[in-house]
Amino acid sequence: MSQGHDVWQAMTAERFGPLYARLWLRLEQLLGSPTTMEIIALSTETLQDAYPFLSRLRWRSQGLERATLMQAIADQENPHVQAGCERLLQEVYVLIETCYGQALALQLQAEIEQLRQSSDPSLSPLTKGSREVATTPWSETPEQAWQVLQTLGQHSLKLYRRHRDTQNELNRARFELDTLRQAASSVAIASAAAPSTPTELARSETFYHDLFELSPDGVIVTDTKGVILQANARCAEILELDSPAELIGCSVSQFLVYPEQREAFLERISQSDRVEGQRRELRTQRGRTIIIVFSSRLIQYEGQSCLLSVVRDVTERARLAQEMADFAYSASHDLQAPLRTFEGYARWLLEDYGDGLDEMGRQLCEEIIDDALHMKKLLDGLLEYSRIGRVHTRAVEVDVAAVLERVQHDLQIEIFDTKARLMLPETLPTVLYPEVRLTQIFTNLLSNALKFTAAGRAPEIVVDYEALPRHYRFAVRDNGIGIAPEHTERIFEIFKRLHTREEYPGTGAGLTIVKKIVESHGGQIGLSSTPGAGSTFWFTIPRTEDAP
Amino acid sequence: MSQQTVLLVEDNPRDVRLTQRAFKQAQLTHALRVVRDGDEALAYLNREGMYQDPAESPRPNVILLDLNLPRMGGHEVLKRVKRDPRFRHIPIIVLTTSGRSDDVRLAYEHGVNAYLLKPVEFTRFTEVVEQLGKFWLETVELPPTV
Repeated sequence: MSQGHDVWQAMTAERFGPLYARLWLRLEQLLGSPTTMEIIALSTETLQDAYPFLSRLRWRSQGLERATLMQAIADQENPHVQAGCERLLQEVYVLIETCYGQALALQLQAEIEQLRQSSDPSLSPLTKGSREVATTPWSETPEQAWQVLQTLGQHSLKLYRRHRDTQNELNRARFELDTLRQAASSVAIASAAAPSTPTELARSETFYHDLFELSPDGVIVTDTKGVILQANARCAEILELDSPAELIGCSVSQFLVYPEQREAFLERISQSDRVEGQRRELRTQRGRTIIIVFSSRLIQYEGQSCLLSVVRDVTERARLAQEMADFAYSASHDLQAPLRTFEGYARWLLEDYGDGLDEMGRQLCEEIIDDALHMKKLLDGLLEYSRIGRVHTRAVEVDVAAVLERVQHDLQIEIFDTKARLMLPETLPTVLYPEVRLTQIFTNLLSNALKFTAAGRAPEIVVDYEALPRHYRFAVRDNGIGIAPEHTERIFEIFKRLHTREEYPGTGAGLTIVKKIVESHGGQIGLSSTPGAGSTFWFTIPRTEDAP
Repeated sequence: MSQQTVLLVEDNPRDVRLTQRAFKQAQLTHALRVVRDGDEALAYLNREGMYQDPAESPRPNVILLDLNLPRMGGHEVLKRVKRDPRFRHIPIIVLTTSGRSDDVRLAYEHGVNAYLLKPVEFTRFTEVVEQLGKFWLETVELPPTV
């Protein structure tokens, strides 16, 4: 904030403070402090759209709290503030005139203006003599007259407020009407292109009916209690019923393996009108347990609030995924056994028979050991990859700062060796995530940033994040060798590497694992890179636990 | 004072060979008896079949058990031995390549005394065997064999 800014604020407070104080003092003397408060509040309300800062002024029974004037105008523009402060005075005069008559209003105005001129004549908005008022000194007005005036004034204030509220209500209704009219006209425009004649309407109905019946997914409409109003053929098929008609009138709860999940679901849909990608276990009519995913919308159907849901049977997919994960697990596990022999025997050969081997023979043994250990790492990668989908890790409140601290600690040797500079944001959020998985993500991304460094350049790594409405977006930026655009897809594939093991060690499983973690928790991952200049890897974490 | 006996239940002859070498390298001089599956392990303990001679098949002080065994798996062997009042006092140490949490939990539920992972790298395997020997055969007080 510039010096000039501070000066005008202080001057404004100096200028209007005494005027408002006098205004308050006089009104309170005449009308009592509740009525005065009411008058000020009404005037401020009238001006709140044009001059929002006025609403931030605090008036108490002692008058205006001067400090709040300074605060209210702190980040405002000078002309705006001057106009607003002036308008508040005017508004009070108008209100007094409306409720208590012109005489009182003029008298009040004259007094305020006198005060203003006595402190700084140049500031008065009134030119001298423009509104000369023959003022009766306050004290000369008889006591009873005041009482009558006060009572009348309070009544008219009440009426005034009622009038204004009605006016506001009316305006709101007009606005809504306009919105509806606009919506209606856009529907009319849309339907002008679509079916307007009865034949076309019928055709369109047939179209939607066909769509409903042909859908490879189940489509179902229920009321908010879960009673089925409409279902397509596929729905009946999923639930192993002969016809969708058998579903009408049934409650969806009777098919849920865990009916208690419905309450949380209803709560969520009532808040957001839509729910996506929910997973449920159902028991079919024939007693088979199946797994489905569905998305729902709150819709208006035949005059009531209903749920439209699209249901997909993923039992087979889930089974295959499980089978695949189990296969990957046991494969990587069983493949380890021979590796132990390779490594152990080659070492045995070297230790006990090394003297009988020549240089080449010993070299070959060393290479067997090397490759066996590398294959062990590949299998570990595969094992970890299969574990992500297979083993459910519970999401907890995780302090990202603490996670990064631990990762930094784990990588301290690499950081020291590469003379890397690691920059973290000053604040980091707390997220709902399995802690071990978040640690894996950052460990992989940071160790990549430390590994793929450009020759002669110490790594500079910046971790940053953005809090977006639906998710957090974290980014790890480095100044390393970068990745050519044609390879950006490939680096996420398991065991795919862009370099030889001699150039940069590793298995090529790290980013695949990171991608799987991120995606299996409802997030996305990507990168931008300039070859030779560096890469930025980013990933997202949903802010609400929407992950399936 | 007779020599302490370790019973190794392991089906892979190469793993047996490596374990024997690791015992030697770790300078554990205990008698290592080897059976190749769960049935043989129970036969050994029950002194059945080829294990009838107490001099040839002394009661083990400690059992080293692989989980991945043909026919009767390691978990089943563990369960049976730990249920049998005659053998339940014998410390059983699982020595396996499986680090899956299900295996670890189940083994402890069945009363395993320790669960160790076999590292692929032989030098590290020797270290594990050495630690195992130091603790289970030299440090702890074992129940007397009957």
